[in-house]
Amino acid sequence: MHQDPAAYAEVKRRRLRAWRVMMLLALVCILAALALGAFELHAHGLNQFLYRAPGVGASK
Amino acid sequence: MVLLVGTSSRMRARSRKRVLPLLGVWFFRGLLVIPFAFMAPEIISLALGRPGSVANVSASTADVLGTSSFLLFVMMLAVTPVYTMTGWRWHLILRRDYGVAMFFTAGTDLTLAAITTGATFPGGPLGRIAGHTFLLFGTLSVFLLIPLTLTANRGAMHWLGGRWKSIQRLTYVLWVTILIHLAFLFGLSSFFLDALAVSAPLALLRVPVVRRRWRSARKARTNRLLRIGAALALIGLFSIGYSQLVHELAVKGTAAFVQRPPSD
Repeated sequence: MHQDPAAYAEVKRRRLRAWRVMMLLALVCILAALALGAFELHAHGLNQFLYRAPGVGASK
Repeated sequence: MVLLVGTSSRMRARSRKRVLPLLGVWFFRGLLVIPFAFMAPEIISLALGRPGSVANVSASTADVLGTSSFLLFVMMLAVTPVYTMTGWRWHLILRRDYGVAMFFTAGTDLTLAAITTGATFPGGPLGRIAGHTFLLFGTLSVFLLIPLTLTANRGAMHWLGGRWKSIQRLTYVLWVTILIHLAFLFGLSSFFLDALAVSAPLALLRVPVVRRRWRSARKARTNRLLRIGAALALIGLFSIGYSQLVHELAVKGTAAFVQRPPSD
């Protein structure tokens, strides 16, 4: 029933690595979206980035 | 003979117990095709390059697929509170199904927005998905769905072990980014208030102390009146917001289906 300590440590290490991979992916996703926003802000200015005419983006 | 009759009625009751949840699960799974069914005529027209199809998709995509994505998100979030309140387990599988369906719906919304909303947003495809504050938070929400969807399966649960839950907790970050997206889009009115109305009961039933007390009271069959009263209040608040969102989807979805969307 008891697992070999070396095998258990290996499983723990593998899971920590998997968790790091997924957290890194999440971070990359967040940074990618923020980078797109920063690029657009730089290209078109703050006014256009903040201002939304009524009806733009959704019909309500 | 009596023994045989008793056994067969028990078997019938047992099979009914298995069939009804299965029907329930497939009913709720069937609802997942609705957003794509609403958008299908416009998307097919777009693929065939028919005149006016770009403008139609541009006008419909946020209203139909955006609203659908949020409704799917809400349904996914409702799975755990329903378990807390009732103890049902048959619907738990829907949490994954609705999460994955939300990814595909929101991803399609983002893709169609990047392709078709050039008349509304200047600056090319990137400007159409990140050129405004509300667009940026919408895009961020879709991007956050990537790790969540990739880990929404048994293989990932096994791969990540006990750490799987901490990845899935990104759902709460997603919840916040969606609400910010809606706040930028609608201000403190209409759709955003509906989103708050559906979010509040779902958030309250996730508070550990509330969840724990509700579950133990349900198991011990105590505080029945209090539980019924609280359930009615929470379901009532949820229904106020939810019915508005469904109404919005029904109106805009029907308009999209007949390819007569409201112009922006």
